[in-house]
This record gives sequence, structure tokens and C-alpha cells, in this order.
Amino acid sequence: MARKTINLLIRRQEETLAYQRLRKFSPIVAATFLTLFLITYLISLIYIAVNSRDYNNLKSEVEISEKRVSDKKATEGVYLATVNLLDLIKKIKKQDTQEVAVIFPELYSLQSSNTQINTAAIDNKGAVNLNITSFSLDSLEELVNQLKSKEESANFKSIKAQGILREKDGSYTLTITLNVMK
Amino acid sequence: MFKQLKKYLPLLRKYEFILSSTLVIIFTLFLSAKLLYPNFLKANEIYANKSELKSKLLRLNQKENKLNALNLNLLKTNFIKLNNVIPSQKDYVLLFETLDRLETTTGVSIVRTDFQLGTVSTTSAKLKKESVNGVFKLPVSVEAVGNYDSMILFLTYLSNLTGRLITVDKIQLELSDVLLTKIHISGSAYYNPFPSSIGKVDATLKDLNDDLEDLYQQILENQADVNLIEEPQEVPLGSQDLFFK
Repeated sequence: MARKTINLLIRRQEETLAYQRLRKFSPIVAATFLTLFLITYLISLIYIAVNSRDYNNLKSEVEISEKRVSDKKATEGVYLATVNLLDLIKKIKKQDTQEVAVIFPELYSLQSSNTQINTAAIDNKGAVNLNITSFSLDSLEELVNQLKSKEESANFKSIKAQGILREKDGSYTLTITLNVMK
Repeated sequence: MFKQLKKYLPLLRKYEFILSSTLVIIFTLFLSAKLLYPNFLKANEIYANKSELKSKLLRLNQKENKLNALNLNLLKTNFIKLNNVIPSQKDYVLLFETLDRLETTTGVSIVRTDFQLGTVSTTSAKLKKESVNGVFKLPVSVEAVGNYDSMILFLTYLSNLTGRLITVDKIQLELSDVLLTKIHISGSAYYNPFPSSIGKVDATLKDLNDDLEDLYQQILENQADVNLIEEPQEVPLGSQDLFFK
């Protein structure tokens, strides 16, 4: 009878390359992850502890400073009211061109011994309405010439004369409207 | 059940390193999400709050230094003069005082004064909503008689900050006499109620720039001196016994 051999050893299965690499590197990766986590967690705990202390100190300093500033509330109130009021006065003064006070002398200078301003209305936008009496034709002509010259010198624009009346005594009463440009 | 487990045992043994490593990684990720991430957020918050607190502290210190440099009594005295220019209420008395002073200074005779009366006794919610530049207008009209020079002075002095600020909107003149002029002025006085609050404690104080400083000095010089009434710190009590001094 021929000898028969039976191999009882289990044939070793060949391990794949991927499996070999996975087996080699997975513990390293796991250990690295764990170490990184522990280090980062420790750092975060130390950072929070240190900065919480600083934060609390800073907070109490701020509270003390706020208290000191609050004690000066009266001074702050008066100071703010002062600055606010000055700002308002400045804005109002800027808008107030005092046009009326500037125009009035120019109109007044139209008067002479033979020309009289009866009534005048001036507004701060420069609109003027005059009622003038000239006692002679010559003085009326002189008035017209003066108004023409004031077109350049005093910025009198859109000068219109209307409602010219000749009175029995030879005087002329007329209404003049004009605009004074800034 | 045990037979089924026995079936998977070789597989577990084969992949034990990989499985345990995976478990460790998953557990680490879980801990990171549960512990590390909240710590990270808290650290971020602390950092942001610290920066905010530092800037707040700086602002407070600067404000405190500015306030310490101010003299409250002087500010109060000067504020009375400012308040004469634009008071906090309609203050008709001040308006009349200003017009009286202008009469004396310029030589004009004020014949008639008209102003919007409105609510005299209260300055609550009934304040008229019409406002210019955040300040309330009080329409005023004045009738005056004077010569040419006094009229010009009067018109100029209305807004020269010696008294209440009155701006002129329109004038009507009647020259009935060679020397005398009758003038009717339509203008506005102003008033500005005090604000109800002064803002946050760490709000920055506005600076007085050069323009405002010049205006301030002009008003202080033009206004008459005022005496601040000192409030007594203690009110002395009388004797408990009527018969002994």
C-alpha cells in the first residue's frame, strides 16, 4: 500500500497589501488621534483658566471705571447739553444770512430829498417790494438810474416797476419789486 | 446565538487591531465634539469679550480724564448764559427781557410784540412738533419805531447772541417821517428741551472743536455776568427748647 501523507497544517492565507498596511498604520493613527486630543484639550483647559481670571479682573476694573464715570454724571450732563446747544446755535446762525439787515441800507440809500420810500417789505430770501414816491420827473429818472446801477453793485435783479400813478401835485408813486441775489 | 458568535470570532481576531483602532478614533472624535469643541467656543468667546472689555476700559478712562478736567461750577455758570440764547422752554420772560435790553441798547421803541402763546403752563408732550435742525421754533413778530441807524442796530443785534437768539424772516417798513421809521419784523425765537437721557456710560464725549469754542467764547463775552446761587450743603436746625437760646 502506498503511503499517503495528509498535511494537517492549515495553509496560511496570503495577507493582502492593503490589509498589511491597515494593520500597521491604524494603531499609529489611533494613538496619534488620542494624543492630539489630549494635548489640545489640556491646552484649552489651561487657556480658559488663565483667560477667565484675566477676564474677571478686567470686568471688575471696567465696573470700577463705570462707577467713577457715573459719579460724574452731573458734569457729563451739563457738558453734553453745552456742546449740543452750541451745535444748534451754530446751525441756526449759519442759516441766518441776515439778508434783511444787508438789503435794508441799500434800499434806504435810494431815498433822497425828492424821492421817498413809503413802505418796503423785505424777506430773508431776498424778495423786495417797495412803494416809492418821486416828487418830480427828474427825481424819478434819477431813481431809475440808481436802480440800474444797483443791478451791478448790490445784485438787484428782476427789477419791475408797476402801478405808476401821477398825482395832482406832479409827484409819481410807483411800486417796485425786485430780488436781491446773494 | 453563541454559535453565531463563534462563527464571527475568527473574523474579529483577524481584524482586531483595525477594529480597536477604529473604535479609539471614533471615541476620540466623540470626545472632541463633546468636550473640545465647546471649550474652543468658550475660549473664542472669552477672547472676543476680553477685546471688547479692553476697548471699553480705554474709552471709559479717556472719558473719565476728560470729565476730571472739566469744572462743574464753571460749566453750570456758563450754561446759564447759553440757556439765555436758546432756552429749554418757551420762556416768554426771557424773550421780553431780550427785547427790553435791545430797546435800551439800540434806541428803538418797541410798540407791539406778538408771539405764539400755545401751552404756557406745561412743556410736556404738547410741545409743537415743528422743529428745525432738531430745535423748536417760536414765531415772533415785533413792531418798533426808530430812526435808520437804530433800526439797523436793532436788526443786527437780534441775532448777535447778547440775549435770546431771534432770526428775522421778513420785515415791513413804513417811512412816515423823514427821520422815523416804523418797522414790523416777523421772525423766530428758538427753544430746545433738555434730552431725557445722557446716553450710555461708555459713550464717547463730543469734543468742542475750534468753531464751537469760538462761538462759546463769543456768547460768554456778549452775555451779562450771572451769579450762580450756591445751594447750602446743610440746613441749620433751630433749638429744640423754646426757652433756651
